[in-house]
Amino acid sequence: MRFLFIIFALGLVGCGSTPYRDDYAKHVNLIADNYYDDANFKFSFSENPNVDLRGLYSQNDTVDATPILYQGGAGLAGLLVQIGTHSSIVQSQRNNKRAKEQEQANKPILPLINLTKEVPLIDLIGENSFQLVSLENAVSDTVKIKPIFFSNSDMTELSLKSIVWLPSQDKSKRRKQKFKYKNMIQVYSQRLNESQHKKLVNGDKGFLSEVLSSLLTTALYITKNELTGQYSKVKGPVQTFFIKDGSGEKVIRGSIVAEKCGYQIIQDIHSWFIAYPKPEVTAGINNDFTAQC
Amino acid sequence: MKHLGFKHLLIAGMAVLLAACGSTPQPTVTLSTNLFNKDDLKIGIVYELPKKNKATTHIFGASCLLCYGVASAMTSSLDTHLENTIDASELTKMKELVLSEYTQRSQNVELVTLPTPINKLKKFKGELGFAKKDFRSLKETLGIDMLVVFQVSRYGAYRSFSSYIPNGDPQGHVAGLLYSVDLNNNAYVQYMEIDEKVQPSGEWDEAPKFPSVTTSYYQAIEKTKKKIKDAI
Repeated sequence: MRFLFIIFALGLVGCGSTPYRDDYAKHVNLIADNYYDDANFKFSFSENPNVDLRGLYSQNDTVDATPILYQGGAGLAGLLVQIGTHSSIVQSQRNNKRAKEQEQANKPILPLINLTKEVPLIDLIGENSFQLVSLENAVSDTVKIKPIFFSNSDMTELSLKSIVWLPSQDKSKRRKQKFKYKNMIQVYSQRLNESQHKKLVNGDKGFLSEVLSSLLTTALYITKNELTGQYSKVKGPVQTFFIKDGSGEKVIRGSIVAEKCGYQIIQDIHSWFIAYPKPEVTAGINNDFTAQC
Repeated sequence: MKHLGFKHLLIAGMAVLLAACGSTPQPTVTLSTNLFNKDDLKIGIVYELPKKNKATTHIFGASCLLCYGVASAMTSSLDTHLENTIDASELTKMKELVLSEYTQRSQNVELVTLPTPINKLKKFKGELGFAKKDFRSLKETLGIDMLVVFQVSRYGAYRSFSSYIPNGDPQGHVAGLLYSVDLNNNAYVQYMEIDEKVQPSGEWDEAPKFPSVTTSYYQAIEKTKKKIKDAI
């Protein structure tokens, strides 16, 4: 009987899990003080070698309550089966809701998605190309990067989520941790002005590549600084920051670790890094995405 | 004449009970600025926190005792984190915001303490648009013309269940009431229910710090502050 209750409790704990997302990373840092030297920093892009661009959508996958009457006459085992079935139904509804929302979010930005389908990431990394290693030649110390670009529905704000990881080299059978290091770097572009927006709408692939390249090179800059230990000693006060994204104003709780080229780089309470344009800078400059710092 | 039997009395009692249960909830009242034309308008602000003043996960929909027990067990680590990490400081900032917004409308604004708790005040028999409790005596007792009540009833996280099964992730949550009463006639000058829920971005179940849920709580706070600013 005790065994059944344990299974029941474990099942319900499983029922509480969030549907999987590939644009999310739980922070792991087991590298301690074994940071990279600048010269040893190498990276490769995982899986898709081309740009992956998606529309921004609401993350709320909560479904409406589904009141259900469990049949008592089925006994304990029957009750557990009914609860398991109910849980599967709710989980499936959440997954479907999320998939539909991504589909809907992609529709308004289809012109951009079509423009970037065949753009290789290697064309966007600029001066970082000497640090790039192909996936086939990657070794255990090669940093794996998966960049996912996002656009709001009216194509005036682009952003990047870059998942970064180093697999664990612990080959023991009881390996608990798959990763030695895992993190997410987010970079937000300045809001495009009218003429820049018009370029995107008119299908200016060159300009779009400039914007995406600016986001990706900033993410690579932050990744390298983090893995070479530049941010490890920085401990500012935790405060609330406001970031405008597709769904309005988003709150970030974290502290500033650096400032670069009009960006403030914030490490939040997830330990993610977020590069966001400083307000006083966006008011004054011409949003030059080719500027290199 | 037939005597009224027990059955008739029971039916009548049920009808009265159902009529009461079916009463229309008070809708939002946009701030009426007529009262602010008075030069020396005195405004008193009351700030109330929940009786159990601690951040926790508020569970809804777990409709049986065992369901509630299971739901509580599922959120126990999150509850511990919320209790230890989140204090009432952000709620105090919201109170300060209410004070500062009203100060822009009148020079005589102050925090007040009620001589009797609100739930112990006499009921007021009025229609929609009038406060349910009779605040009129406070005009003389506190020497004010208008009473602003800012009540926080719940803060921390919110999670919806269908019996044993969660319908979604815990969400950052703030709930309460902000209303203002004209102490001449007990009418609402302003009324707004606060019920903010914010979905955490990504995985919520990252013990012990639950960063996504914590961030969503602060998001709920900021959204509430914006609504308070817009309401006053």
